[in-house]
Amino acid sequence: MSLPNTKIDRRSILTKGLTKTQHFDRERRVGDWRILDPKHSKLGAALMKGCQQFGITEGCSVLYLGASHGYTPSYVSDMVGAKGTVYCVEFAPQVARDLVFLCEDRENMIPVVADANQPDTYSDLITGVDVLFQDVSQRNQVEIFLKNLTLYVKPRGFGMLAVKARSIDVLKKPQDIFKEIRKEFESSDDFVIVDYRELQPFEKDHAFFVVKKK
Amino acid sequence: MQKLLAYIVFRRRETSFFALLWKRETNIVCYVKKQRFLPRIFRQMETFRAWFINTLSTPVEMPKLEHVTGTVEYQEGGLPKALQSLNERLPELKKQIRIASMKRAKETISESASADDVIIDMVGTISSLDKAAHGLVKRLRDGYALYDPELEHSIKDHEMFANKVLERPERSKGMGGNLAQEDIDALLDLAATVQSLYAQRERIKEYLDKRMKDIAPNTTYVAGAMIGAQLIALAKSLRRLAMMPAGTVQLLGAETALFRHLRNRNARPPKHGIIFNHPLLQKAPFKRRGKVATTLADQISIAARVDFFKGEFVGDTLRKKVEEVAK
Repeated sequence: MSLPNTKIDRRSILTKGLTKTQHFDRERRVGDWRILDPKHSKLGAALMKGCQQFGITEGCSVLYLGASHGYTPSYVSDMVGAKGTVYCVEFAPQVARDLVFLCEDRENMIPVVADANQPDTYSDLITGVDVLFQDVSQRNQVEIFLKNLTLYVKPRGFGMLAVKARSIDVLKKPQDIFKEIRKEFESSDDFVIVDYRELQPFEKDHAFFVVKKK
Repeated sequence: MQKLLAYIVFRRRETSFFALLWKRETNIVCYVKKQRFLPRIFRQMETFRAWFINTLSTPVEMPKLEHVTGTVEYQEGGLPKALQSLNERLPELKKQIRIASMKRAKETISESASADDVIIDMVGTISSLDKAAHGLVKRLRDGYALYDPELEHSIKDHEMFANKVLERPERSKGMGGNLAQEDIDALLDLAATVQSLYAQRERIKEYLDKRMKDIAPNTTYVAGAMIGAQLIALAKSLRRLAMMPAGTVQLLGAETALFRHLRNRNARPPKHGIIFNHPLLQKAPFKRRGKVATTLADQISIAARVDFFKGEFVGDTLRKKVEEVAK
């Protein structure tokens, strides 16, 4: 299952631009296609590392936790196309400002300024989603992921988690942290692990999990 | 005909879903449990605002929806018809949801702006100004040394040097070369810039003094305006500084040393972070610095809490405690 509106070759990832505006300084284009820089996006890094299955389809809805300035979310919004929806959750107002401007340009993106650790606070803004993407640098990032996965993802929906080992525990070895998370995920009855990658050389001490809800 | 809003309720960890019709006028929640509708309802989840509750017996909170979704006409056919009518209005509803989310996001962002953030910004500005001024003053000295090395050599203080250059002193007789008036003018221009950077820094410090006294009088009395502002900047807000344990306050700004110690136990733990610059700690003899730092951090922490919860002024008693230890 490949990603919609996306071209991938060995060197670069391109998504079909939904709008003509250039949103970011580092954003480059080839005609209508926008280049996704894997060094600035964990989704891009996972793609370059050979992840195949993401569960993102044309017109699906995505819950994106840790949207930040909206660099990766803007590419996800390209992928799901005009009929899809990307809910972008970001807590820090400093970066959420950029996100709101971005969402104004892109009609399929919805900004939510809320704490992903408290999913109940935005339950009246978000419906069930097909895909959950999480990239937050919090100590309890796994807990946040599981909370949102149970609450918002439809059955047979996908969840993607970019783990930053350094924000979980600086003293432990990243490998050990990834192993623990893997074990925790494998023991769950609600979902199965579909894919797992470590993101070197694009990101240091990061891993990427793709899970599918039963 | 009654006006209704439709909801889907999702029972956590269960596969069954319930369509829920919410009677807006009377605030009564009535729901229909019909398993055979469920797959369809689920497909239409995008149609509705999903409302999640643990069990149906849990009272459903009144959603803040006045400005969010439209209403559906409730018709004789009951649930299926209501759903159908909602489905027809899907694109419009989606737009409304987006508008409402956007509005709420903007409100949240606008509410979050506070004086703390400007103080944090200004703390950053001071260090940027220092960096910029330092870089430029080095250029100015290099350039001016061609014209008058003796003057350049005799004044060590950067700010005084820039001021002196701007007074256009007569060239001392020595190693200096003859420069054209244009060259000297260029140097004078640079000196003016440097001087204005130092002036700006002074103005920001005055601003910090004044604002810190308004926002955090106790912290300012114990720690001083500059250190207080830096602590707020490191903690990201006064609220977070107030919530921090005193031990964390003590080491704010010494993260590198702290983690070096945690990774490698041979490295000794840091005694102080940014509070190292506090005059009482600077005066203390080396052997007593750890003790003074602990007490100082304790008292700053208390002061920050008093400030955050807008208590009475207790700065003087707090500071006295530190002074006793520092004696």
